[in-house]
Amino acid sequence: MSLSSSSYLAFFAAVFFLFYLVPGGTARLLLLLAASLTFYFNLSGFYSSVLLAVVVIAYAGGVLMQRCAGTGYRTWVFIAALLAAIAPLIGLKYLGFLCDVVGVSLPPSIAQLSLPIGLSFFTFAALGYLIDINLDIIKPEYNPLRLATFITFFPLISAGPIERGGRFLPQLDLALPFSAERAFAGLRLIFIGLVLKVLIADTLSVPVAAIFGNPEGAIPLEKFIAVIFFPFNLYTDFAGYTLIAIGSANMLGIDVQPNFRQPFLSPSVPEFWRCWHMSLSFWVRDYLFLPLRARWRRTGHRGVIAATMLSFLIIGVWHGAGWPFVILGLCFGTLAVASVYTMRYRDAVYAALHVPPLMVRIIRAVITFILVALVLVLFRADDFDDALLFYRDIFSLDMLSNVWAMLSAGLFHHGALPAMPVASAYCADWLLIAVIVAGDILVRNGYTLTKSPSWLQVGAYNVGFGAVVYLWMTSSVAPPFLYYKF
Amino acid sequence: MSALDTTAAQAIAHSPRSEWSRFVGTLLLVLSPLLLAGTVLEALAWRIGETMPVSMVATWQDGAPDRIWRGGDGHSFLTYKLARVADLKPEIVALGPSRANAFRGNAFAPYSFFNAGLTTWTIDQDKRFLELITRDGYAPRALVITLDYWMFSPGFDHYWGGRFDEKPETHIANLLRVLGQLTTDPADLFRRLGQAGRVHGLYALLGGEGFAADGSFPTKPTTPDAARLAADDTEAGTPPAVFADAMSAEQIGEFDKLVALAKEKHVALIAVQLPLYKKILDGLNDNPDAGIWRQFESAEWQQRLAAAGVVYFDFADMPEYRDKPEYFTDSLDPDPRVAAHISEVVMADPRVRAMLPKAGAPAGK
Repeated sequence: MSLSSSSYLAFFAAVFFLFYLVPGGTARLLLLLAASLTFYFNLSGFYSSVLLAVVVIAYAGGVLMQRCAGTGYRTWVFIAALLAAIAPLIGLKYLGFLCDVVGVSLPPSIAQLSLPIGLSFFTFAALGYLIDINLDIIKPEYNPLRLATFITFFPLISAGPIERGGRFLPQLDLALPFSAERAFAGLRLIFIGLVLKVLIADTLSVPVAAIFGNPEGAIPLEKFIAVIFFPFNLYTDFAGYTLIAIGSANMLGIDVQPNFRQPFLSPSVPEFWRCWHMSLSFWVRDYLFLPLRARWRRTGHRGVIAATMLSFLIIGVWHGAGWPFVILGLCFGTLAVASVYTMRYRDAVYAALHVPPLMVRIIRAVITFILVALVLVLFRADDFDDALLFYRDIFSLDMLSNVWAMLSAGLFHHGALPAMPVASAYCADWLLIAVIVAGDILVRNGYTLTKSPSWLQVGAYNVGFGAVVYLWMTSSVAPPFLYYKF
Repeated sequence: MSALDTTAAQAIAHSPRSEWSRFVGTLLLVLSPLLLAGTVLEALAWRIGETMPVSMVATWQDGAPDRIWRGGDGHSFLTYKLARVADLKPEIVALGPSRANAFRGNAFAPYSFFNAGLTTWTIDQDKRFLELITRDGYAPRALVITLDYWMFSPGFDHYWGGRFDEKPETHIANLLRVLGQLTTDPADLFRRLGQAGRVHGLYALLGGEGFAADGSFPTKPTTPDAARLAADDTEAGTPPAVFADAMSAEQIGEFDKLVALAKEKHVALIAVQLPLYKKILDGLNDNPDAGIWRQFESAEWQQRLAAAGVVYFDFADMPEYRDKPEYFTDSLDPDPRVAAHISEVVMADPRVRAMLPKAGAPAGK
């Protein structure tokens, strides 16, 4: 049951109405926990036991750490709980890759195990909870129902945002009366999320999947188009999905941190990561980068660079086990470091050329986008060889000849390039991308749907939701959520 | 204070009931254009009969010989015909593929009749159809099946096996079909709505053809244009009418099972080979690979049928129609005039009269 499916909406509606029907407190907590476990069992079946194991480990770890407070055992309990909580993630996600690296083969019974949906998300939520207790940022949760609800909370379980215990757990009193305003605020997020996921992401995924799925059959210009489309595909897919999650949580009276903030308007790679999958990048920043930088502060720039590279390496491998993800992390780390240390030189160049500030911002955003898009090829390509094929073709002379042929024949002239679908075939996709960019610029400048005239809002809701319903009805198989594999 | 806290504080000022009323009321108001559009679409699809359950269609056609139905999905025919049989409990049921479509109820008077054509293609499917209609104690007095040589080719079930098990499409798929037509040519659809009192189902409404109350599928008059029937390659052994040296023992076994079931249910089995167009007949007679055809036409096979108690009629070659295209809707499907002629011959046959004593008598006697 994907969050962007009609069946989820029906499931959520039932939970939502029941939630406000039962009295606040324990009854609502039990309802949310039951709904969360049902939802996750529906998604992962047998692998629900992994989720339950992580909950038990986090609970026991937190309680034991508190019991051992002031003794030398506390650190050992913390390390043991941390290792136990991360063990399923290591075993199910990384063991195969690690064995490949050291040249050992896994028994087939282990190698064939699937990756439970949302494993990285709920594991990081549990790890954050344990670290926060160890750092005395929060007290351990003694009510197992509350902790279980935090880690298993159904809107967030499959794709985040990765919540923090200190922010989430205090909201689990669940005593808020029903508020129409809050429900509408949540519904608006769900609506925007559905439009992003079902209308835009699923449309963009068609050419992306076709070209990335058969790179040998695509000419360089097509590969370039897919490389440009994919970040938007991923963004709308993931941002749409998390907006549905956040909106659902809001409707149940739980405030959840945002996960995206117009990332493709970012003027640099470090800024991009402050706007993209924020719950993960902030998690890594708070629990890895900042402690490492503090520890290595005496080493000067080298310490900062090492902490940055290591943080991005973790972000890379969080996304998957394999060399492409290692390289992806290292690429982002290198770009982030290079961005920080070349900033003043680049500023000087723009100043010397008297480039207007707005133009500087646009140029920086475009360059950042292109760099991100090129790195994300490692994320989307089926394997490293395919990714290399993309890079080789995009930076080849054939690419230039493709562009020349297209320009000379006119951008939208049918039959200009017999070897590829004509450029006009992607018109709708380019239009969607323009809508995404324009929408992000409007939101960044404080313009939201709620500030527009009523007739426009009503029109947007009806057209948008009507289109979503139509696509639900006509799509026999919806494209999968891209972040499910994490 | 977060935005949520603020809204929560505001909410306290209102009672839960008024908050719910405001929420539901506003939601309905905002989405009213979409809800209205959805309601109109549902109403339109219902009016057209496209989303009407076939059990209701079956009742709707009761006592109304001019009412026709053809749902657009093409997967509901079996469900529809089973519903009609359950509703009418006819004394005679005709069964087969499109070749059986032209049998009309009045030709079998005074017995009540239903044409369940366009539901079965294989012998096994004939048997399964009989099982389905007789499972609740009802059984027709006679089952008229179309019997052709290709039903005895070894791999014939491969081509049609899945067709019988197709399930009717979903309500949403039916709605989408109406929506598709509505967006393609709304003026045409609304113009035809006037016929919806007599015609149900999108294809019936658009094409004017559908299943009549007696289950037959009256088609528009055909033309004497021979070129119209030239495209068929049945005489060349083109699938699904694949040639074989002889009739498959497996298919003969299936036929024996059908005969046994009919006997068990006390249903008289009347098998009819319907006319074939000249081009097909000539091709079959001249083709050395068509051993299966020759065996099917042989006296031995017909004696075997008689011995099994099956009343068999071979109308494959009817000289008065064989080279007249206007009597065929396609090279395999005779038109209603031919079917009426055949029905008359069948009902006048002494073997049939022995089983159906009133056969050939005027209705009401």
